[in-house]
Amino acid sequence: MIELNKLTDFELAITIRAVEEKFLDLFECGALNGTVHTCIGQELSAVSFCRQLYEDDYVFSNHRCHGHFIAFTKEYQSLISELMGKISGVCGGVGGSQHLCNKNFFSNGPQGSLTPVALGAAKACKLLNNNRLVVCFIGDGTMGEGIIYESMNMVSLYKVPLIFICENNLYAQSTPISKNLAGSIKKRAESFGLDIFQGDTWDYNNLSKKAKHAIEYAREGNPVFFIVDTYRLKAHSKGDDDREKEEVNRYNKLDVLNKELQNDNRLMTFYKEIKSEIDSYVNEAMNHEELSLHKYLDFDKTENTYTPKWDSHSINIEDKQVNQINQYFNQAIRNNDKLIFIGEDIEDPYGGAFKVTKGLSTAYQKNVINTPISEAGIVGMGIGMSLLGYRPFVEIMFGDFISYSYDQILTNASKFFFMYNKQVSIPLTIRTPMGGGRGYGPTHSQSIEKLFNGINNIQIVAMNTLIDSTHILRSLEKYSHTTILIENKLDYGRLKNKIPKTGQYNFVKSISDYPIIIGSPENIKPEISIITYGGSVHIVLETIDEIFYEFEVLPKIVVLTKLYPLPLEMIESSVSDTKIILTLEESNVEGGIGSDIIAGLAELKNMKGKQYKRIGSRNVPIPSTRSLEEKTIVNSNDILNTIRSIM
Amino acid sequence: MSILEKISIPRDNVNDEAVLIKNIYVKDNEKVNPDTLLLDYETSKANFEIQSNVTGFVKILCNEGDTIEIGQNVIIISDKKESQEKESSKTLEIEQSFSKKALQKIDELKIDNKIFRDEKLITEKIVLDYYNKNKKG
Repeated sequence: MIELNKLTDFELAITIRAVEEKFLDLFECGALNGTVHTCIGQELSAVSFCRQLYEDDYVFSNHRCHGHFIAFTKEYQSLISELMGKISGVCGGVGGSQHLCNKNFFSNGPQGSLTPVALGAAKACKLLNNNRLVVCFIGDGTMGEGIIYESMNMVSLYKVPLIFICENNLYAQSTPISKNLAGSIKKRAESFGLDIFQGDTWDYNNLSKKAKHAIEYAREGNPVFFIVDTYRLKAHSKGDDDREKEEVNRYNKLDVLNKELQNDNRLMTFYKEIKSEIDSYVNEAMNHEELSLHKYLDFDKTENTYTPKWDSHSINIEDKQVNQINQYFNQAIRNNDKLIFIGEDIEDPYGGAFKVTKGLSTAYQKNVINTPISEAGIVGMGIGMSLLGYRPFVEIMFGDFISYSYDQILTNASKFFFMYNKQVSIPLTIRTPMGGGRGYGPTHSQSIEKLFNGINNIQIVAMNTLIDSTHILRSLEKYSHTTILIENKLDYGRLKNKIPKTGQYNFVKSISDYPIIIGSPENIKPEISIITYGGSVHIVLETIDEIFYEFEVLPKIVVLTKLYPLPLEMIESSVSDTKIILTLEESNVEGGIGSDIIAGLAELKNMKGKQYKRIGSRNVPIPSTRSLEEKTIVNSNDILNTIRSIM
Repeated sequence: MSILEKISIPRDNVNDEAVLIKNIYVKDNEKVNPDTLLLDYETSKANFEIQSNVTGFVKILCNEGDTIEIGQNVIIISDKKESQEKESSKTLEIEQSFSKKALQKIDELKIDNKIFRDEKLITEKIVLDYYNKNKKG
């Protein structure tokens, strides 16, 4: 078998071409599921950089990643298997053409999505002081995505060892650069203070020399933006090529590998040899198995199992929630220097908009990273730092702004674990305060956790003041995947929980990582359960006396901390003895957490014949006017009206 | 005795859910007049004073150094000094809850609600049960 690490640069580039030509053949005959984006014509860009990296440097790539993969990992078999959908593939066939992971190599399809992740990896390298470099391949088409500018800004600001390599092949899929890019790529990158290098795949010696220089320079902590002018000789993917034939022919003649193959018999002989080796590997891989559904779904689920055990619980608040969180991290960072805080305005003296991080940057300078206003960038950065063993807690200043980071959560944090066939996981926590009641108006008061409900592998946890925040944070610190942690602005400073005057309420707490708290009246059998979470808990507590006054009943209060995946078995055992089940949330009910709770319960065999109702806020932007805000956001009257409508 | 004014902590800025009581300038059952300085407290931004708007006797519900939530009552001003007897009947009220229907029946049937002092949750049924039992008796 030919050993790729012993090849010349041109032989390695020819290997990439031969593998991709085989992919096109396989695609033509229907042996590949999905699509293929080849880099035929651009191979020397991959070789010039990846060849000169350390084995344990980091490479982030995109949809057109095969060349980068082969040049960096020096192997192609697992790539062929991957595209053929075989278990022997580098990601067990799950990733296919665009989603590859092998040790320090990562690729993902959506344009620019990995750029802040690469930034995070580079930031981690810098903190670890490990002399490792991060290389991030993008294309000219990527320049249309906003996230690249957030990433360039932070890369330059933090002076991390990273090179963006922009392979400019003149087309964004089918649209020529003249129709999709204003100004110049170079000037855009320059404006961020990045050092600009430029080369092209038609003068390989020059490109390789400049790549070597850029690598050495960036490794010292001088971030670089390297423009590689090149041309893709085949279609964007499959057969979708509308470019002028004359233009493609002209670049075919310019192509260095085509010329070398014509002039160098030795290279032509190698080309034939490697093609033959690839053919025989493909024949062998045809017989490999595909991943079974059972194996695809199989992973350690211990963190998602629930023990139906309960303990009595006091709902007295020992200290303000904001202090609890602050003090927890003050202790936790002392014991775990991989704990990292990332967020806007979180450094002293400001200490965060809600003062959660007050004092932390003074005590632990390296563990608190103050960032630009860049929610997508900082979540991506957290993902990248997670890949290198850090445990980041990203703060999104207002819950409303988490929408900026949706793509990072959906495309990267959620997908990596399964998409890369369980080779990596992202132990990231994104903390953010939701909720209104402070007059902040339509864009600083929402409760939009429901928009993240049901995303694979992204758990949603909500703090409340009935439980010590330390309990939740301790659970999160040992969790292996990504969590969106919902806090509530009004809960940060609460000093006490309103104990209902009516009846004697006893509280119990489940013994689990993310407990359920149940409050039950001692003197009366509850006919109603109200399931709620977060700041809405207080609306229920404040309405209990009125519920008794009007309806002569007392409800059971069921407070969740884990919103997704829902602990349905425990919720069922908590509410099965009541006839009426209400859910209360601060968002509007449509598509909400309450909808999922009720759907989940209604599907259970033992929960037939119950009466269900969702209670939430009005579905309009939350007004700043105090009297209007009070009436728009879910309140006691909504609970009373709901009970009135069904009793 | 009737309450003339309930003094609670107003929301002076949106960032504070609670304030620190710094000084209390009056004592329980002390007579105050309009503009008498009652107390001052500290928010995250500034110190604020609270003065009386009425003439009456104060009942203090907090201590210096307490952290008090926005909206929580700190002083009640009444037209008379508070006696020990009144205090105990108030405590009894706090431990009991009457439903709206129970109160309507009590009123309608002219029952003294002290009769239910051993019950914690008084519903219409409890009132009717008592009434029917005693009517028969």
